[in-house]
Amino acid sequence: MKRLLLVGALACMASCTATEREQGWLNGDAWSVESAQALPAPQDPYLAALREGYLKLAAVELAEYDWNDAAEFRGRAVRASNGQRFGPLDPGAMRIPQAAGEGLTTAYVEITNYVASEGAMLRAARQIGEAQVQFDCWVKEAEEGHQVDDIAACRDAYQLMIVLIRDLAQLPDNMAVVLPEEGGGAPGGIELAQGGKKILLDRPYAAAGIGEAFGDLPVAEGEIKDAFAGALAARPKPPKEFVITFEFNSTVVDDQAFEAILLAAADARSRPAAEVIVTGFADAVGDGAANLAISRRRAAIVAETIENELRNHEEVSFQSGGKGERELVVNKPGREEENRRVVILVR
Amino acid sequence: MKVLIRHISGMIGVILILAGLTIDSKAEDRIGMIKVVSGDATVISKGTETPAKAGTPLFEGDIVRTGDNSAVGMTFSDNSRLSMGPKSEVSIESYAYSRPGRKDSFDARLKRGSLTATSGQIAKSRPLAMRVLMPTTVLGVKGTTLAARVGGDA
Repeated sequence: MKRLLLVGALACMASCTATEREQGWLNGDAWSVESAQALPAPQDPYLAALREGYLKLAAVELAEYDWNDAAEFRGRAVRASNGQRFGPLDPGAMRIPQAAGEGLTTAYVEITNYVASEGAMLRAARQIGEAQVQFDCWVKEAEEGHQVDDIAACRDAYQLMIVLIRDLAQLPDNMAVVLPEEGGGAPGGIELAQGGKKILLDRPYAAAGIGEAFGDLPVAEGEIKDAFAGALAARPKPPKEFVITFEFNSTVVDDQAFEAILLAAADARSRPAAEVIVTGFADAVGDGAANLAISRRRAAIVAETIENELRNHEEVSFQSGGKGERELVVNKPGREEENRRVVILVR
Repeated sequence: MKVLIRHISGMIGVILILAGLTIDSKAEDRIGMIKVVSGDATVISKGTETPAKAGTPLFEGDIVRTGDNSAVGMTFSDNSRLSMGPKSEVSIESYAYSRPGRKDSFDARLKRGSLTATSGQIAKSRPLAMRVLMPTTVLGVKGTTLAARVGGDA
């Protein structure tokens, strides 16, 4: 250990900053794998993989008396242990001999993208951590440039892991996901049934793989929006209801009712191939036939009014009617305003 | 002005007969309508394939297909909605809403591609009565919006 300290101190004298010295170059802590191992392991699988992998690399470099690399890998293990997230070493910022650096730039882009991908991290965090460690190993060996076998070993380990990540990280071809409710609130959910097995998805962005990959699937909001961009963009506007109430025994469309009709007409104009469905309701008390008749008259007046507003708008279809006796029964007893309504549904 | 008037199914309603209106004899069987089309899309109805456009009516048994970079959105009489992404095929295998003698139900089969589905009155009154059928899996809708895709051998 004394010899290590001496060599380390000498190695540091020329290039260490004051901070690095403070961090332990002079007392040996900078490359002490033991002290880094004493730090608690993070729960996050990506950070745990970084910590474990960098500690192993630090130990290997230490055994080869490569103090700088040992310190760098140990430092990365400490950062991961402390919960810091960081990407791989950038080969573009290092002096790497051209022959030794072949393939590094492409690999750097790929692993960096996976590290930044929320969805990939949800499905392959540990593997991405392991691949990042192997990539950094590859970069460091390539930087030295002369140990061909070591370069190949790190590169091969990286490439083995990245093949696995490509499979794990992408969204499966066959899947289902619950989307957020347009008006907010909790979704009722969907039940997936396959071969006697069932999965309930009942929260926004709860997802499952289907077919061979049948099972819960962690997904990120952004990747779902990308994966279903075409279908999401084509969603028709939600249907909208406009409620018009009438005075008892009246079919007069007052100013408030007319305003609602104008709003419904404007909404219909904003929709391609709009449908306007006018339905009249009536009081449950009194003579059923008379109630039905007034319900029909109200619906007819409202339908005529909105149709007049939309007379110059092409491709609007109308449906109009009064609720039948069966529906009248379910209305609240009494002369509540709610019972004397006409509903305009626009979709 | 093209206006289609029809009696609301299951109700004793008035039919507003207005001058110059045409009454579509098939309107009673119509279950939905294409609302949004981008790119190339077709509807196959009773074996006849026609280009899909906003306003194209949909009937039980219809098949809707989209091409590359195309999408379609449609609404149904129970206020449920479907939309499809590119290179997709969806068939409306069964649909019944407020039909005498039939329980409310809605089965849409996603053969390939992607869709979103927002449930309406059918799933509200009968949870799981709206279903998206996929090659190996049945999605029963309990009242929600979902997205699904079939790109492999599921």
